Amino acid sequence: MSILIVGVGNALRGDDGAGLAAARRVREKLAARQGAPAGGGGAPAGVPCLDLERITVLELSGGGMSLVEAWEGASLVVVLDAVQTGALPGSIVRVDARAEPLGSLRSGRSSHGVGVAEAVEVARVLGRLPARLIVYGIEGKSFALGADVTPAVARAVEEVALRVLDEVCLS
Amino acid sequence: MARAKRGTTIKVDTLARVEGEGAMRVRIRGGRVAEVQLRIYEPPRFFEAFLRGRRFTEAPDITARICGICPVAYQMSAVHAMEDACGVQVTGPLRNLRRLLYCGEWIESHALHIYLLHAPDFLGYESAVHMAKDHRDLVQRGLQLKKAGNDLVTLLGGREIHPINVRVGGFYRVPSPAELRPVAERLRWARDAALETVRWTAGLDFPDFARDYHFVALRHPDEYPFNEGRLVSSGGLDIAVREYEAYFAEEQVPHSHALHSTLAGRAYFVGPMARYSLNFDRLSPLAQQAAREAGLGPVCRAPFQSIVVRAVETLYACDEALRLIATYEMPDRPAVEVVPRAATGYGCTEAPRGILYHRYDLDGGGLVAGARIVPPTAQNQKVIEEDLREFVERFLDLPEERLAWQCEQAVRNYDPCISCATHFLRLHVERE
Repeated sequence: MSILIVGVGNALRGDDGAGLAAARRVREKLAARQGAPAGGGGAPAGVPCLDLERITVLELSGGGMSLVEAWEGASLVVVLDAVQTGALPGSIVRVDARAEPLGSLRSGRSSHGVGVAEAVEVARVLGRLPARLIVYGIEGKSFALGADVTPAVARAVEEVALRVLDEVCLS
Repeated sequence: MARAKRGTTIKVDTLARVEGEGAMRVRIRGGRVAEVQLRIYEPPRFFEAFLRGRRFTEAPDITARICGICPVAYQMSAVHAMEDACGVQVTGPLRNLRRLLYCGEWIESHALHIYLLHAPDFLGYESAVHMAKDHRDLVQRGLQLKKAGNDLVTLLGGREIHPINVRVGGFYRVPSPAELRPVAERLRWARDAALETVRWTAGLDFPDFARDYHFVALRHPDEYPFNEGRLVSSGGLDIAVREYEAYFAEEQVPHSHALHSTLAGRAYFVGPMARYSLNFDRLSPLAQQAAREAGLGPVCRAPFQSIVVRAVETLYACDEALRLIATYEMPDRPAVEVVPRAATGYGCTEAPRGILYHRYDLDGGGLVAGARIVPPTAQNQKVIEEDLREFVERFLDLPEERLAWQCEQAVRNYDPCISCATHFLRLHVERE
């Protein structure tokens, strides 16, 4: 069984890059653990449950459907994306997408031809969802081209990265 | 969908199925269309500014971020413009690999639009999700077809976020013939699926609507155009890419941050239907035959049939990709050396949605002093508005809901990219 962690968004549109940034932080944390001397054989120190060989971290900025292509063969998929739900910037929402639809989430203003939520629902209809699909949404505030990342969103990125590590560890 | 008696406003959120966000307003007064406003695309001024002071080698990666659906097109126009500035021409197997990469992007982009964005309009579904419930096999075929293109782009472009393998002068790494073999296997399936797609789209119901468009596309002496050619039009234009700005103008329109592109003061049409109508004789025999069997002539002026034209182009791209793979010889080196110089370079390639123009001014050290980027959707905005105006006037008697539905469909005929706009696309039809 393999694990895919995938961030989506557009890094040039301020908070829309939150999902990408979170994926990058997960990758960095995994790499740091891999490099830890006590971790012999690729197992990270202090987190013996993580088998790094089976974890892939991706950053995507194409349409939502490329997500469905990317997760083929993975049994646990964690999607990280910026969202706009009207909550406070930096709020984190976690959805178990096998259990409930993503209808309430509106992804950030990235150039997704088919949004993440719609792609997930198409995959559900076609029976192409992975065995476990978790979506983390980070509430963004500024999505303009060239906008700065909102500080609360930057903090949430860090928080989500940690929670994702826990998530895959407990799988 | 809301209704009111006077000053009717209909909001249709499903227009979000056009990539990104945008807004459209049609105002009807006394049985005539008083006003059409389309606000779907802002020109990429941010990127032009962002590029200034950057090294000439950075332009392909930076401009690839303008569109998540067609990054290859931006890379291709950028590398051609930079090589033009530096007096370099990339030829032989490296040139063919670029063409192959472009085939991948066309297949990916067209399959997505045909099956997931445009087909629901024709079959009466609100979205691809609704359509997938009743037409599972059809949507699966579309996704599989898209994946064949995606495989090509991933192999040649090496993308994780954007294709990062493309560079000025060629590639960072080129594939071996052995690496291309499994891709060819999938492309053979894709070519059959594309042929089925042509047949299936040909059987859809099309509103009886055609206009006498001014088509603009690239034209090459031997090839259906991707990377190179002269800019030609159905009105007799025949110019080099570097002359683009002398003939094409962008004018500010009051209702939008968008600019309207014009050629000799008139709207013009770019994209699959223009390419097809100006280059039918350059399609492969298989694609020409499929087009004829689908009932298309060598020129198509019916915009709702653009879905069939896209299917024909998908078929061509599969066919051409297989030809390129069959004749592939691995180049000695992945890129030719490009030494910057103070000059201006011009590039124009055929993005899935139509011609994409880039111009760069370089200083002697290879830094970008100025950039100009004109994407296809920016060029089509005026002609889309004209389509809407004429369509609504002709079909004013249709029930409100049906009219709104077909207006959306009319916008989607152009597969517009609206990723730079800042509002979710809503349609307003107001009757006074």
